[in-house]
Amino acid sequence: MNTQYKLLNDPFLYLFIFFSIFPFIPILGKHISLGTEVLIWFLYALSFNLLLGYTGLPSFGHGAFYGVGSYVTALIYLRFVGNSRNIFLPLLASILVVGILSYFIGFVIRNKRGIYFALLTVAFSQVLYIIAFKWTEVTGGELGITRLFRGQFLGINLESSIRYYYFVLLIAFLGSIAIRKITLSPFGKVLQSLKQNETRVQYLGYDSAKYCCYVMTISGTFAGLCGGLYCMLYSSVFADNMHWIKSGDVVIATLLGGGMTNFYGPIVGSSIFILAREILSSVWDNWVLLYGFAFVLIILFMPTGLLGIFGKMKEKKHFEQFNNNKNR
Amino acid sequence: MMDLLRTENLTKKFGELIAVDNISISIAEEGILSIIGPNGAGKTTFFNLLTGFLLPTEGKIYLKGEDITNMQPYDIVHKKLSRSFQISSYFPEFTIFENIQMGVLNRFNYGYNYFTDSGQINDVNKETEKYIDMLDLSDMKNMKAKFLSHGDKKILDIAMCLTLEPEILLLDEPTSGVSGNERMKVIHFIGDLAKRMKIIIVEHDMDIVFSISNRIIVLSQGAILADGTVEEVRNDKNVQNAYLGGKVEGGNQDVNSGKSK
Repeated sequence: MNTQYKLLNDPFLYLFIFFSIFPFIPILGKHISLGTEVLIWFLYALSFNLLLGYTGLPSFGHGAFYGVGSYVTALIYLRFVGNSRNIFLPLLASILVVGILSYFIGFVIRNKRGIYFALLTVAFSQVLYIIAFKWTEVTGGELGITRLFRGQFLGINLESSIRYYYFVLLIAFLGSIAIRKITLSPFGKVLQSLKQNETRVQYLGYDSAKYCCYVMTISGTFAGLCGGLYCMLYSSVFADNMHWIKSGDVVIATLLGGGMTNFYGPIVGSSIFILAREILSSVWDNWVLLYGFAFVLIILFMPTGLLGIFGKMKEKKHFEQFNNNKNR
Repeated sequence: MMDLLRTENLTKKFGELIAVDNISISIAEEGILSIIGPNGAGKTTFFNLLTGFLLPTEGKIYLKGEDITNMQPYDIVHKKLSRSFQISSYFPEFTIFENIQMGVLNRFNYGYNYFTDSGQINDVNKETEKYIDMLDLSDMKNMKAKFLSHGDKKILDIAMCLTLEPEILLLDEPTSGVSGNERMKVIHFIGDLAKRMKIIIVEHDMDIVFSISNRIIVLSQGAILADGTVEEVRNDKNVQNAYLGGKVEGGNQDVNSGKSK
């Protein structure tokens, strides 16, 4: 009974149902690669929110992990996969390489907070961007790497876009469930308390720097996987995905959706971002202007983002209950 | 008998300013030790040195004979030395239950557990409930800590230290900004604790200091001005001249009104 109740109240269930029937919805269903991209961003933004919303670490270099994930996938695909066109190895490599890379970066900046943390993540991502952009022999430079045609994943044929869509759906949901598990675990609790009061965390005996390093690793690893999935979606990879401005996209999407106070905020925010990009850009070239304006308005009137409104309502109820208890 | 806590020539300089000046003391295993002194006397800096929040310029700190001078706060805490803060330190967005739970989780070594729901760990929940009962906050345990009254926040701060089962507890002005009845609540709470562990307390309220202390150390400009029992300190000429404002009868003086450095 209890588990059934829990399941029926789980937003993931409804999201899963929606995305499962998405390809069959009239009109919308035709944009299958767009749907795939939304799913990738779904996981990407959630992984990013482990840093920003949960630990309070303002990373502006998440796009670098995404980008490196794409390049690793592409390069491993070109070197080792050959005619089988099996994307298992490239994706696995993207997880491992980006995992190690994010651990390294996390380790170096584990003691930095606030603006210093933000600037260092920008610096790291720009270094990686420039490597990707200039090292033409390996990364293709400005032209990127193209013609990466996916074939199968351990025998499962993924050539058609609809098959790939369902493959990404599965990974995005498994990944998101794992991230949600982490946020509810003791480790996740430590992250949330770090955001609120780091000194206190240390005086409760937690090595806060280590936690920052670990959460960078976890978050970066998921971003790397997303980069790999993205690369295989469009059969190509370009350096501009790694530019720090692109990292800003995920920050804005997360804030817009309300990731600071709500676990599902990044999902809402990233879906809005991608839809806005597709719809507005077909209307007007300078669509970013409209998007930026909407962002400013929303943050001005709802500082905690779109889903932040639920948190507000909950808090009000909570406070009233508290007062009632006191008056009794 | 080995000293519980001992400092040797402990000195902290901030540029030209000597905040803590060559303090060597040893602290016995029982009772309440109060550290008093005017604002800027170095009380909080001394606390910060003891708990690893600041590194000393010179000198050593020994906890049960072990050198803890350059240890990080989280390591010192594991050596059973815990502290509260002048401005209550807690997690405002967490409920009282969750606040207390954070300490218990660490003591039970769950910090690096990634996939268990933190609300479903039975031994931790049971232990957390124990502290909640002790605090007399059971009916408010699901309230966010930021909605608590000032006095309850102070108690929560101290309770979070207790979750690590410390042998020494350092309290930095536990009654500052707490009024009337709430103040008595905090003092009784501290009195009960002193039966179970060593307490070192920085406090401005002389009534409280004279009523609960076994030993008092008076700091002035970073150095020890007087050190002894309540009677000894109360009758010490230096102390009276320095800032208690002459002979203290009922101890009805607040150090805040005394001369600062």
